[in-house]
Amino acid sequence: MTVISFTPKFEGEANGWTAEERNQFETLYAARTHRGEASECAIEMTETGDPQFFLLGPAPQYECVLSISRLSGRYVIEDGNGGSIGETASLDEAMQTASRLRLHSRMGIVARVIAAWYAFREFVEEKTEPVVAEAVEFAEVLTHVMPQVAAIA
Amino acid sequence: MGAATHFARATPNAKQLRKDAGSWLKELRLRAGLSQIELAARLELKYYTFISQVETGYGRVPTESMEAWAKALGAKPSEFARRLLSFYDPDLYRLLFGDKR
Repeated sequence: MTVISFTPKFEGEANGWTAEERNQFETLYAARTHRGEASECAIEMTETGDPQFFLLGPAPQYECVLSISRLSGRYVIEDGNGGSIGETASLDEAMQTASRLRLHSRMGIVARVIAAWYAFREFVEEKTEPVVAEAVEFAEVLTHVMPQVAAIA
Repeated sequence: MGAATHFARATPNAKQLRKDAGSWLKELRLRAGLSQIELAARLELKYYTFISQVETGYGRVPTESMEAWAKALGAKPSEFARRLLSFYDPDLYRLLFGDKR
């Protein structure tokens, strides 16, 4: 197993990847790190010996946000959930697909959903607060006036 | 913001716990006599590479497919999910079940 933090130099175990492929991964990793979308990467092998490259998201989760595997000479690009992004026989094309992909870690998505929910709730509260306050005020007036109205009646 | 603080915080050894989960899953798979390819076929995955991603600890079993994984590995879904939760979200696991694993 090879895990490289911040300065990926795939010099040791190649885990089935060629030097050209490793260079491409380094370029991809550098670009993603620069954009704050990745903080580590790793190269592995499946149990049947197919090479895999993992791009890991930001700390503290370091969860896989993108993986590239080579199966029978074809590059398979997947997201962190195993969702298929693309498959191609061309390394350049695989790198282009991987570079274009918008990366979102699972926790990032959850955090965005929570933030959106809170923003929505705040918006609703902001809009309904004056109406509720008015209703409360009206109820207070009624409680004061009702005994007098009842007496007159 | 409370929510952001919660999600920014993570167990310091989240990576290690995911690796532990991966090892446990691999153990279950081997006990079930399945290869990564066979497990992927049972889960109807297009590629078997995701199994490797999860077993090496870089990825995790998605919540929505935990039941399918459990059945494919011959485990009881509730126990399987509970065990995975202890790896993937130990804080929540502790709140729900105490320290028992």
